[in-house]
Amino acid sequence: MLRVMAAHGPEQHNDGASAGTSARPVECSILSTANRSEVQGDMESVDLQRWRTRRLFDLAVTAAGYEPVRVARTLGIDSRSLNDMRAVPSLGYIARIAQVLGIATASAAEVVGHASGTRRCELSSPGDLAVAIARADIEDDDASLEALAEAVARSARSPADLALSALCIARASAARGEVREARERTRSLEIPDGSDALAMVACDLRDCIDVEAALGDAWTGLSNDEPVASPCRGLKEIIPFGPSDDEVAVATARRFRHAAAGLALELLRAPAREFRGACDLLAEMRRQVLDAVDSGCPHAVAWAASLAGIAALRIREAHELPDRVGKASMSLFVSVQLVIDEEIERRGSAAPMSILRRRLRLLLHEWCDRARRGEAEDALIDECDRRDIRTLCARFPRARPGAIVGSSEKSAKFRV
Amino acid sequence: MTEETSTTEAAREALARVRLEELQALARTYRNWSVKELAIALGRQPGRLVPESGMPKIDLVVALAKALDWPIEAVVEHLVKPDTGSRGDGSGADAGKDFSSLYNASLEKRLQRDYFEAIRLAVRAGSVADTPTRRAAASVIESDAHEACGSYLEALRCLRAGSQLDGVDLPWRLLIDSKIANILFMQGNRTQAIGIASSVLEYTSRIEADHVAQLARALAHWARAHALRASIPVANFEVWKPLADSAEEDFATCAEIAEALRASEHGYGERNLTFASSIEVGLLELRAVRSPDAGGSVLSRLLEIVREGGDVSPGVSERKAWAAIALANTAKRTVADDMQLWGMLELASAALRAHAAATSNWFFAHQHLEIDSERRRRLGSLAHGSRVLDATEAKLVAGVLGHVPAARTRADEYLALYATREGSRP
Repeated sequence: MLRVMAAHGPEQHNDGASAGTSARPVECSILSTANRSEVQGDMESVDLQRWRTRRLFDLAVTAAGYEPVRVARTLGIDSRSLNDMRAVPSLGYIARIAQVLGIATASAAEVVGHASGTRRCELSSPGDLAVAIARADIEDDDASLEALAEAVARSARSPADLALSALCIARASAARGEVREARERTRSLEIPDGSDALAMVACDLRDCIDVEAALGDAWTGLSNDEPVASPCRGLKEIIPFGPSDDEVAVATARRFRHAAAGLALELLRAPAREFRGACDLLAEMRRQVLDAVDSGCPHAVAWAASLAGIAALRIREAHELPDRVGKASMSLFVSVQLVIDEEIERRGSAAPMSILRRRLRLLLHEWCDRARRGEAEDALIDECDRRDIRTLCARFPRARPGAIVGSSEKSAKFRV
Repeated sequence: MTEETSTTEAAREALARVRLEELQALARTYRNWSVKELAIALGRQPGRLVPESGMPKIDLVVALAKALDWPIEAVVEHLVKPDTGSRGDGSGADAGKDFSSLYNASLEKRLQRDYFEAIRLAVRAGSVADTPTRRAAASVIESDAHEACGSYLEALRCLRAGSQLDGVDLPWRLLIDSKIANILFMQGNRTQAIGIASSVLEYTSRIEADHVAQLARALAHWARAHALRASIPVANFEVWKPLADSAEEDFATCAEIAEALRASEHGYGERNLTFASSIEVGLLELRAVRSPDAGGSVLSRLLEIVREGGDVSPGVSERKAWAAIALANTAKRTVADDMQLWGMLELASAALRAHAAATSNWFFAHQHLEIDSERRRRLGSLAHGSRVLDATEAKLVAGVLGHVPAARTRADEYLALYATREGSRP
């Protein structure tokens, strides 16, 4: 146990920020909340890319110990282009410079492209940080969570900051479907109790990781060595969500997620007690999904529906499942898929990433379940399925060598 | 020859073109975008999403990475990776040899600093291995050889491949995880390193540990101790004393295990337990955190170690490099006099540079650049802006940017500070 994680310094007692983030600017990149205008590189970033390429070339010249013209000629680069650098450098150009420097093309491209066009924001208070983490958590956004974890670690002022940073990284793993690893990483973390915004958001992150771990990973399903009764510590509304529509939506989604997680865990415990009440719980989950639709909040639909769907799939793994429960669970599973698809269709390209990601998560569980049951046959995989699998492999790297691709590769010549 | 090169280049570009189309299709599905929406996101005309040459401009790569929520590195790796099966099994003059002899030969070559041969033999050992554990063991020695010649990315790739094998004996799996924690620490990912090392320690406490599991424990304690030590800031560090206590416990346990391994009959010696020789300097730095009054004596001892010379026994150079890091940190925490501080930072920076240049150790090179750039910042107007590099330093800067992802957040600063030619940052 890392006992240091429970430490609170005088700094925190003084300003009341027990998660160790006294008011300070935290610079972080919000990567995936990027809308299309953010994704476009602006002129400044293009200039930076040219400048960095030129500097890397200078490093290559120094490392090689020859005249620039000679190095340029050897690399097949037009030396005049180095002088004006009017064009944006191509990947091939960077690859040749990387070769001289003895580093991978991908690393050199990362140096040249790093943070270009990325929106950088100043999080000036623990409240801002809490909101940013809560939003990334609800959007299931691993890239933002990792960026925030880095920002928290970089400006850490107390051991509790490291615990929060570790939680963000574990939550990012969970968002990629690696729920057992995420659970293991947080097992030895001692999250300080507290009533401030960051302590609450830390509690939320841990709850989410525990619930996803209790629902099992997609690749192996439920594991007998993981007790299902992971606690939901209770939702508190202290995270300072502002009046903006976006922040209200995140707050609504948190409430629905908490309720859905509670029902899902109760449902998973039900098989051990001969499925008494399982059908009632399934019906309750269905009602909750419909309530989420009525709330008009797509994040709420995403979480309520995906958790209900995964829980419905999971109880099918139990032995000696009564027919009535089996049919009810499949009926719930199919209906939540329809609800999510309708929501995405209704919102078109304006659908938030949270619902697209949670849809993929549900699909991942479904495909892995089918692969384990040997149901992923050639005849059953159409072009649409193949497209879904391809997207799954982009979002969940573990899916690439897993059962899902293995089975579909054999049957459908699937290639990522 | 020229014709052959251009054919290879054309094939690579054709492959990149196919891959670029694949990734764009993936981004559209992932974001639920039409072609037009994708084109807007990528800043291109819908009809010009894939360049004629196949090799995209870097701004397109960056925009695509954002659309996919992938790191830029992952997109480029996908675009430029060879088609299939280009990685041979390393067979050569030693075809027909068995796993044990190839494994031992690879270890021997690494100790002789013939890293490329060590890698080839490790790949060959992996291809003839008849059990998952042996394949994992081969990936460990291949990773060690890559790490020794400065290729952290390849070292990590080997370990990750080893960790994904099914049916590997638990001690070997834990050893791989502890090595992953070490490399992540060296790449600047301290939080991940702490998490993985902690999970290794939790598992090893539950099993009856053989010597491989003991080595995994020692390395996990080592990685966690350093990650915790490095997390302690140089200002307002009093609140971090509990962290220093934990790091000290980790170092102490690591030293005990290393001692037990050295005394065991499994052949551990100075050459494969070099990390143990640096524990003393880590403990010294932590002592100064826990009792700032001890700062003076700690600094004297660290200066002694950094100035040591003439001994070529294994681990001495590495110990000096760790001592240089401890010296710089302790000086920043305890020395008030600017001139004295600058002098110590200069000494630490020079010791790190010497070790990094001799061993292609990018972790120490990164520390050298950090200390040197800080020293130059502190000098303020006395510093002369960007300075001219020699070939060795240029390679160090390139190696750090290429192999230590955490350093890339400061790439612009390094490129400006260590620039050699005209052109200021836009």
